[in-house]
Amino acid sequence: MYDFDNIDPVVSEFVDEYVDSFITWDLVLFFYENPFTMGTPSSIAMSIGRLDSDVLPYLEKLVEKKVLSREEHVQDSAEAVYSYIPDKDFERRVEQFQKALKDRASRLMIVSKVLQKEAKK
Amino acid sequence: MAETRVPTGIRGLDEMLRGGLLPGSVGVLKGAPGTGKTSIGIEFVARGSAQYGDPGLIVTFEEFPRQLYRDALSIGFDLRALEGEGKLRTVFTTPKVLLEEIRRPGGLLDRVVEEMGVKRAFVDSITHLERITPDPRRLREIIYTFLNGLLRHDLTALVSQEDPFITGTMSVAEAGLSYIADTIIQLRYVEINSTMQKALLVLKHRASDHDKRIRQFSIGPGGVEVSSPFEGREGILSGNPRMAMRIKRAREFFE
Repeated sequence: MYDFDNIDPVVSEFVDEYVDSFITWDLVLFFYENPFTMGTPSSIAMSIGRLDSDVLPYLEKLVEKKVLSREEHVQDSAEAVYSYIPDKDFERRVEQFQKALKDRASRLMIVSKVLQKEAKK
Repeated sequence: MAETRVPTGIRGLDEMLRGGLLPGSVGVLKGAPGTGKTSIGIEFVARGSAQYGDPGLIVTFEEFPRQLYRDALSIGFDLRALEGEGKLRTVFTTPKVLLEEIRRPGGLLDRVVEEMGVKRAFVDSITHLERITPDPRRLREIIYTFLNGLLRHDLTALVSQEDPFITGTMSVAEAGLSYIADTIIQLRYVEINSTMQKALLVLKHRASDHDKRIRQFSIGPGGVEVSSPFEGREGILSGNPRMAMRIKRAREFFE
């Protein structure tokens, strides 16, 4: 098994706190690379190549963690609109996460961590 | 008294527009994919932020901001840096969401104007509003509402509109946009001697004189540059120009 003591503690903490699934992984990187995005669950799902129904619960979790905000648009649209407002501290941590993903050993450790979390659901 | 213009900052284009766009107006950039609509739009907003003190807003419906950042860097503009300085914002959203935000008091548009003092906007592309409705009459109303939303804040805006064909017949009035817009800039591919070049023409510039010649333009590390008119050719706008008859006859005479 992998030695999680060798993973960057900042990255490990970030994964523990935020990355509870591969979909959240996609969402976090997507919003980091495309700040000021405003989208509905269906448009965001389309942007990351996932199903709307799969994406929605993880968008809600990111709202709870105050990474995203949600607004109900009552006029024509039945879907809520999710927005990302960049936060410098959060962005720094995502940058570290993104850097760690480029290193194969770190990436494998992160994948393993996320798989364990997915298995517990 | 000289009339105020909003300069695009794009070499050669402001000359064609006799100084630039009219303040609080909407210009349409029409062209096939790859003709340079996004590059011109990006440069208009980026130069506004960096050179003219006009904070800007870029709205994209299909291309991700990270792609726009990369494209902008290739023509010499660091959009992320400008965002970091609070001079520009690149919003990725859907046409439906944006329309609701424009209509809603305190929506995105109201907020960026209040918070950042946005003066320029580029929307890429307005063709995507067709995703909201297939009904042409309803679409025209939506476009009208959309553009009036931009104008309500006295923004000077460029919007891109896609032409479906690379060459061939040029269409003008999609969903009435050509009638509503104040300025129409047509971009075309032109095949000359087995090479695809790019042509730019100011088709309309409401309440203003403008250069009516078809000019060549290029996109490089320093941005967009509009250069000399095409000389000695006819049928440029068809995409398959032929040598002008007088030039052909002159050649035949000497041969």
